[in-house]
Amino acid sequence: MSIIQLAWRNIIKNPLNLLMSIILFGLGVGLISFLLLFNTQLKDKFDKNLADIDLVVGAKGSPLQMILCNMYHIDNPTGNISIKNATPLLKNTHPLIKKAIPLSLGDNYKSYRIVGTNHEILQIYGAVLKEGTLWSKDFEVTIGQTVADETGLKIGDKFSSAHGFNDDADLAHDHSAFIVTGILGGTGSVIDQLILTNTASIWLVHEHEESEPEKEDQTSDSPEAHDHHHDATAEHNHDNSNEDLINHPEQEITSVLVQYKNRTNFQALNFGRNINENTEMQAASPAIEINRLYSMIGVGTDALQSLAILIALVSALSIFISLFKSMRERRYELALIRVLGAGRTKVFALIILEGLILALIGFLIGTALSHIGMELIANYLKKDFRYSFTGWKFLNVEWVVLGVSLFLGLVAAIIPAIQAARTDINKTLSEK
Amino acid sequence: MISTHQLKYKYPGGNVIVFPDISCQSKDILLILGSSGVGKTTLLHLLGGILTTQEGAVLIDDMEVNKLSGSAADKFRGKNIGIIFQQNHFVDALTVIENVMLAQSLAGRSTDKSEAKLLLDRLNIGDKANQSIKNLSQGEKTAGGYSQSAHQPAQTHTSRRTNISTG
Repeated sequence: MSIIQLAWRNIIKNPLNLLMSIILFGLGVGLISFLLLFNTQLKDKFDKNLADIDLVVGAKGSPLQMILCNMYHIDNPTGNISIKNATPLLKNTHPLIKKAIPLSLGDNYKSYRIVGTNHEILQIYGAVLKEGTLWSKDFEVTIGQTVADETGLKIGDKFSSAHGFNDDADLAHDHSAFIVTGILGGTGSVIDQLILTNTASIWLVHEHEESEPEKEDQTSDSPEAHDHHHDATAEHNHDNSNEDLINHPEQEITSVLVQYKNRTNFQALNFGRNINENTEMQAASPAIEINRLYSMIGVGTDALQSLAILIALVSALSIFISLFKSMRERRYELALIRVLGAGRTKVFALIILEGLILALIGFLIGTALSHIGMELIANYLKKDFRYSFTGWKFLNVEWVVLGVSLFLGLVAAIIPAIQAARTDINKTLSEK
Repeated sequence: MISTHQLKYKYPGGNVIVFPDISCQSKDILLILGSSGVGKTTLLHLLGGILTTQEGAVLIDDMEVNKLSGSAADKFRGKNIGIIFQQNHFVDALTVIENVMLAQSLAGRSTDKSEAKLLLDRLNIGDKANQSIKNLSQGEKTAGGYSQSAHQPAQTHTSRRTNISTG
């Protein structure tokens, strides 16, 4: 009968006290641990997807929305920009720009976004082709790993896209068949969740859609669109270069992701402001917008964290009270243990152990709650944030949470333990 | 063997209690009689090292108990002295037999379940071994108290152990 066993038996003797202490403790630890899991994964997601993009240029509107839409593929686009306006950015002779990657959004397949772009997008996300080939002709697509895993699309599979960003059967373009030519390896970034094709494919899907009801009124068909339509049916294929886009100034894209040649260049620093002041387009820096978002989320997180710490402190207090109370009830027992040969240190250790065991159980329950909770809501978050959250990832900081939990248990037990060690056995045994 | 020499004790705010020297040989039984408040329990607590001796000496098997430090006195008591209280005290969270085994372990020996069971059988409470202390009658509790103080098979404890009892 070791003192650890004795401490354990004393704890389970009083199931109500036990329940009260560990439920409170578990809630506090659970909330803290959940916040850590969530924040770490969210920050990881945001950081990974910054992808060294210095500037996003799109339609005027909310800069944060534009970043969330074009870099994280969460929100809706602020609108489209004409290629005519974007031409200066897309020319590869631009003195400041190293890479300019056009994005065209507007369609989805089973809520995975179809993005019209060029092959440079692979480099910025560090994506590598795993199977097949990259898209080259119109309507050819290369899909990210998550898309392949979740939809079961394989090379050679054909599918129709749906308009918008949500999986909605009513909005399906049932005539335009995309064909999968390649699958990318996993990167952990947002590209895993995208279906990549050339910009022209996005135009073609929508032109087709628009031209159908116009058949009765052929005159309203603009000559350019008509030509283009003709091109498509004649199986003209657009290559993926920016030069090809510039040849279609009447068309629109959603945004351009820009990487500077030299970030610290004075002109580069003013580049975004110039666009905002002098063009119909809007430019925003992902790093600045995401920091703004962090500081907004931060307020809520801080409030929750304070609440969690408060719960943890109250639970430590409840452990203290229940131990302190039991000292009174158990004074004969403690005197007996002393008489049977236990020194003061052993009695002290017994009570400390009871506090530590309670804290440990609370920690284990809280950790289990937070991980299971994280896993349960991961599916919802996956849709909203386009990021695979998981409950089965353990962080190093959880060891710190364990340390703090045990420290709270120790603090809660220390006064009762000192009291127990100081018990005057002669006095106690001479009572009554 | 137990003997005391010029033992005196004074509680804070009380009178000095002067104890007559006593001597008790191995295997002897000593009965201490006295009216209420003369210091019978105080004497037993001094003999058991529960109270620290202020003046005089207590010798048990040639060990000067009064010279032992706090934790050494606790160890010596656990190993060599059995105390049966007027009021029986147990660890409520443990079963009857676990209380006996706790006593074994606190005496610094390895726990021996069969030995503990044998002891309970001899005291006629073997059938209550795995029950809660609450299920013991008053008489059974006294036997249980004895089993804690003995925590060695009856034939060996008399030679080595000193048992003191109040009541």
